[in-house]
Amino acid sequence: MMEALKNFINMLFQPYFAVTLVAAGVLLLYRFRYQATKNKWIAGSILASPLVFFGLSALDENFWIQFKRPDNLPISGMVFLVLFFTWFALKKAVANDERIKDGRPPYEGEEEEEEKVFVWPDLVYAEFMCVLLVSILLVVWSILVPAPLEEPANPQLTPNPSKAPWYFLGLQEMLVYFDPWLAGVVIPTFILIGLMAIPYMDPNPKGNGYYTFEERRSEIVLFQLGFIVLWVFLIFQGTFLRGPNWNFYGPYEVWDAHKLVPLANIQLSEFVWARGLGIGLPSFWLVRESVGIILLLLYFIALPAWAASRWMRKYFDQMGMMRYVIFTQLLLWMFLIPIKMYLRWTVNLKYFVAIPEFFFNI
Amino acid sequence: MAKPRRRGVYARDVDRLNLWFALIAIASLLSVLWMVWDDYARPWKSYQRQFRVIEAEVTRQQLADEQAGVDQLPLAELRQQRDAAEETLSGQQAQLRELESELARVSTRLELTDQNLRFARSTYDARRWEFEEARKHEGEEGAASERATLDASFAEVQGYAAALEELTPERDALQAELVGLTGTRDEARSAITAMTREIERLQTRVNDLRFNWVYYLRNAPFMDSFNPSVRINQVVLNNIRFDLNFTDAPRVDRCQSCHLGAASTDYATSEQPFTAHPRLDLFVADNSVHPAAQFGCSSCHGGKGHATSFLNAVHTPDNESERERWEHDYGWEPTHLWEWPMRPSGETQAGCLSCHGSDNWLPDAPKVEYGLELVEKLGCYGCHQIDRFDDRRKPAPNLSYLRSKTDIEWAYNWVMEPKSYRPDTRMPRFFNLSNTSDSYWTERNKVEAESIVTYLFDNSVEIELENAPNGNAGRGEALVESLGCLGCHMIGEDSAQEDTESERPGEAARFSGYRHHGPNLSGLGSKVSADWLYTWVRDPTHYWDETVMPDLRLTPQEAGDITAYLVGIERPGWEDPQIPPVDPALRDAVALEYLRTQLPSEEAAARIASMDENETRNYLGERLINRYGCSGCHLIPGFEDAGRVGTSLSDWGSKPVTRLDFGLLDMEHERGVFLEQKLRAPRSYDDGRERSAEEMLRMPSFDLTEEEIEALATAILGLTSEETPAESLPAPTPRRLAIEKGRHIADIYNCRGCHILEDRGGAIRDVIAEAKLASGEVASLAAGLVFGPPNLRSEGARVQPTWLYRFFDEPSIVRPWLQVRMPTFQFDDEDLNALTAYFAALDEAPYPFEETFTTAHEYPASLVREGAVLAADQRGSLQCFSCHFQGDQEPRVPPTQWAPDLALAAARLRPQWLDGWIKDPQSLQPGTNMPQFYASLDPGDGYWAPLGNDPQVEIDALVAYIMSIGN
Repeated sequence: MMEALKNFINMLFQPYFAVTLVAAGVLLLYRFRYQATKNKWIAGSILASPLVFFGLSALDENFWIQFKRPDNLPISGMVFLVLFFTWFALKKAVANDERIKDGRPPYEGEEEEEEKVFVWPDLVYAEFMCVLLVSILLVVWSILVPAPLEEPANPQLTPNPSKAPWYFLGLQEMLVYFDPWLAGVVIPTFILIGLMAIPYMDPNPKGNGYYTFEERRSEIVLFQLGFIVLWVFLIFQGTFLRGPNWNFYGPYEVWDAHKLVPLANIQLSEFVWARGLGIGLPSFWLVRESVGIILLLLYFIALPAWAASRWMRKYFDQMGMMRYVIFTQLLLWMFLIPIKMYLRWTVNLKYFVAIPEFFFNI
Repeated sequence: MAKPRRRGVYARDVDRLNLWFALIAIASLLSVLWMVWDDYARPWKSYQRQFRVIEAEVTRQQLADEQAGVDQLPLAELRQQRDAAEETLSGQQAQLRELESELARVSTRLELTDQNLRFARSTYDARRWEFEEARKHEGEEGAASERATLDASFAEVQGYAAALEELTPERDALQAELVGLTGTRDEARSAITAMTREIERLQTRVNDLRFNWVYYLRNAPFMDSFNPSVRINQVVLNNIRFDLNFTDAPRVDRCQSCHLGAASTDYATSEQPFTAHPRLDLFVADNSVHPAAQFGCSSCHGGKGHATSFLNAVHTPDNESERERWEHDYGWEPTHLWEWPMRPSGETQAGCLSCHGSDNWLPDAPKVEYGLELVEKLGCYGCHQIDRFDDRRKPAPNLSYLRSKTDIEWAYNWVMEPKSYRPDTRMPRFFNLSNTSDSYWTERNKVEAESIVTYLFDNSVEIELENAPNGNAGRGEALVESLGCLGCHMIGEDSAQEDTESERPGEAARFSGYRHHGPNLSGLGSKVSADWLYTWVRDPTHYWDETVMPDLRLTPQEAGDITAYLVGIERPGWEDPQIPPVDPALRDAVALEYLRTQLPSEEAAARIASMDENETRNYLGERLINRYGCSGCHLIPGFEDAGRVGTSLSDWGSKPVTRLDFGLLDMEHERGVFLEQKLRAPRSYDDGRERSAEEMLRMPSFDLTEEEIEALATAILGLTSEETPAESLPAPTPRRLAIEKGRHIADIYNCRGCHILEDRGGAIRDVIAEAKLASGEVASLAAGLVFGPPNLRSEGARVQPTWLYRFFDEPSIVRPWLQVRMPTFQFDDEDLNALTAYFAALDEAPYPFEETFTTAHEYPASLVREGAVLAADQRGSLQCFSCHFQGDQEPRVPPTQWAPDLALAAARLRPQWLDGWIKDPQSLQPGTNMPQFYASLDPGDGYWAPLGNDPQVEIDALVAYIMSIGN
């Protein structure tokens, strides 16, 4: 019984399930935001879920091994903190939304709240105590859990799995699906540029200085999908679910370095020419990869152009041509990641476009 | 938001903030104190406190022993003398005080004068410089005033020097006077101090070891950063580096921070971690060959030497019970973050090889030594690259002429199950092992063995054999027993190997190993033809030019007799071996499997169809020999350039554990554990796995005993990639190198099968003695030993190198009564030189620049004459020839007392040795029959009046005579 439950949870954590579930979770949280913040039981279960999950899972021998590692402890904390603050912001947003609907200003806009307070003691005194509390936490933590120092680095014997620093685990995960050039250089650059560009892309003046959801629905949901699914969850997955040889291991599975998983992937060109048409790969790369190139061109150019005149018309009008193009390109890159993931999981797609002649792969 | 209680003008409740701040401040203080304590309370400190108690106890005991040991009587006497002298002195107080004050006054004046003299001298030096400068620039005239100053200064120096000379004797006289008064007292005092010095020292130490306030102050938190007595004990080993992958650093060992008693015998019985090292004569102690300050601990033991806690040091438990105890006591767990865990004590000797990797013998590391011998004997280097064995020839017989030696049916059954023919063979078993014994493999094994022997026979060449004459098996048996064959070979079982009992690992096995140097000869009749055997014993190199089997210089008749005897011994059950029929379809299938790796399947199938049965066998045989690596040990036609099939063992001891495939076996992931299991059951890592024939493990089974497994594993674990700087290696002196080389040759040719050399070996001596006893020729085993090959102790000092060189090349008869025969070995010049140098080096005898041996011409003729009379066989003489041969002339005494031919002495012996030998034979060779004629060397104790009864003169005469016989 226990075994079956563990196997079931192991299965739920398989990347294709887990990514889908987390994305669905984000959407559901925002869809049922009133229940999630107003209903004590639902709110309680949401906030308690990571505690329950980690608490019960820690009873499992294999999960415990990974959980107790000093460098993994903060990740468990991060899961809880992210969930809590997401929920907390939502709770405030929901409260404000209700006020706005009633025609009142948001809570932060109340006159009483706009009253000035003293820097001392109202601000600095409290801040100082927070500093002390955090120091105490760090001191006690460092006494109880000594720093996980390892053996001298050995180029002949790299650790297995070799893991990036925790904040880069999301990028490392992308290496599974993309060429290193894309996963290691292009996509991180777009992420940085994208984050910097947000203030310029965002035409919506609402929500400045106060919590709200209704007034910024798509902005919040889009951002959270990127942040929680493609960043926080991938860090969690990289920490707890990626074991030796970067293989996927369920949370209760033994990290057996000898575990083998089939790793045979197929290029899009092979799908089209060999499997679909049965005529073999054309020798000239441009012809061979034409399908992938056309598909990508459609995705990056035709799709936003078409959307501009249909359901994204509102944005197109608000943003203007230039901002719309940059915005959609960044967005399309972001969605390319899960698209590629799903294609890999379902049909073992390796690359849309693979031109080894130029070391160019997408 | 809760309604604030009392805010005043502030948004927050200040009282409450203050309260919170107080709580947080206290928590903060506590956490800092906790941090300080956590940093302070290190486990090694408590060990040092515990040890302090133990040390104090030991020191108090020593103090008590010392006090009891001091002779009380003289001490009391001395005290009395002192007291008496003091009393006398007290009567002369006034005189004494006056003398002392006078001395003080004179001494002070002396000191002041000396001081003034030193001032005057330095002033004089300065003036001199001024004068020289002035004279250079202004000439003699211009420097007149400087000259005057210089002269005045010189006069001052003179004055003080004179005063000093005057005062010194005055002070000395006063001092002497004072000593005259107090001398008796002072002498008694210093004698008492000398007697009680050790007690004083121990007493001081006992006081130092008290836990007093100084101790607590010095070692209190914070204070301990100045000069604590509880401190890390570390050694920095600049000459033993630690490989940090990108660089190296001196090894730093802090083991003695907890192992505080390791270097002193006082703690031999203390509990760990305070126990003394069990071999302080070799290790740790300052006066041992491996002092800890120079070699540390982790260089041999492994582990993380610079760690200061039990877990961090990567201690490894010896066994399950220790592991459980450690888990309980220390929370021990396996550490994977250190590639060099401490060796369990059973494997510690592996550490010796880090520096002693090129030594042939390691008498103090018997396990490793035995392991390396096993590697040599079993021929591990045939399949595995092992650097130190790179110069060896292939360890097993040449198969190039196999068809002339035996028949294919015998070979098939041999390959299938070597031990069924010869239970003590070294040939391992390749078939019917754990991964090849299911029903499919039982059939396939037959196919494989049949193909291999077919290849071997079809590719070997006929060699010309001589026809064996008819021989007499009875005579042959006597020859085999007496000539010395049994020094390297056995026939059937033998009890002699049980005789040696020793705690050294492998000692018994090693002793019997001398007689396993060549194959066991029983059952030879089932294997080889008379013609082959006859040809072989007559000239072994004819069949195999690299064999170590020597030439015993057999006559055709002797060889014929021996052949007749040996081919008459058959192995029961092997009279008519057969090759069982195999399934041709299976053979084709296996061949196809191999062909498919080279050819596309259709072509492969076509090839199979085109081959006849024998071609298929040959094809498959070649591929299988290649797979199993038969050519690693045997010379096989077509495989002259084949490489080794096994993994390299040159630095296996450094192989990361993560690179070892433990298969599905549930075992501790450690190098040693892996290795022992591999040696015990080479194919067991295939258990439970689904593997194709190509992927399966192929190491054969040697059917090793647990003792052998442990020794082999220890030796292989010692083969690491560690590089020890030359400064820390044993110095490669010429003597050391000569001995190492000589030992190696002696091992290859099995000298110790017959001779006792460096107090090891002589396996055949017991066999011969037993035979003599059984035949009734001698009354006891000890007497029978005389008929064995000689003990070679001090051979290097005894014989002339030139003679030794010639003897190894072409043996001559020294002891005519021996039936056992020194064979002619296939030594080349290098071997001969090395052996000669080896014997000389063992006894530190001059080589290669020999002493000039005094020849007959240089002995005065009269001395030789007197010597001849003294040695002669008559009443009143020493009667040397009653035991010693003189040319062909047999001695009078029974054969058990016969001794070497003295006519050979001039060319053979070193006169210096002969001199020592006559004086004291027992010290040079314990147990020899040679009597000691001269128990005393005092003049007058001799035998021969014409030489003045002076033993030394008589011995000189004897040496002169013996060294002149034949000239």
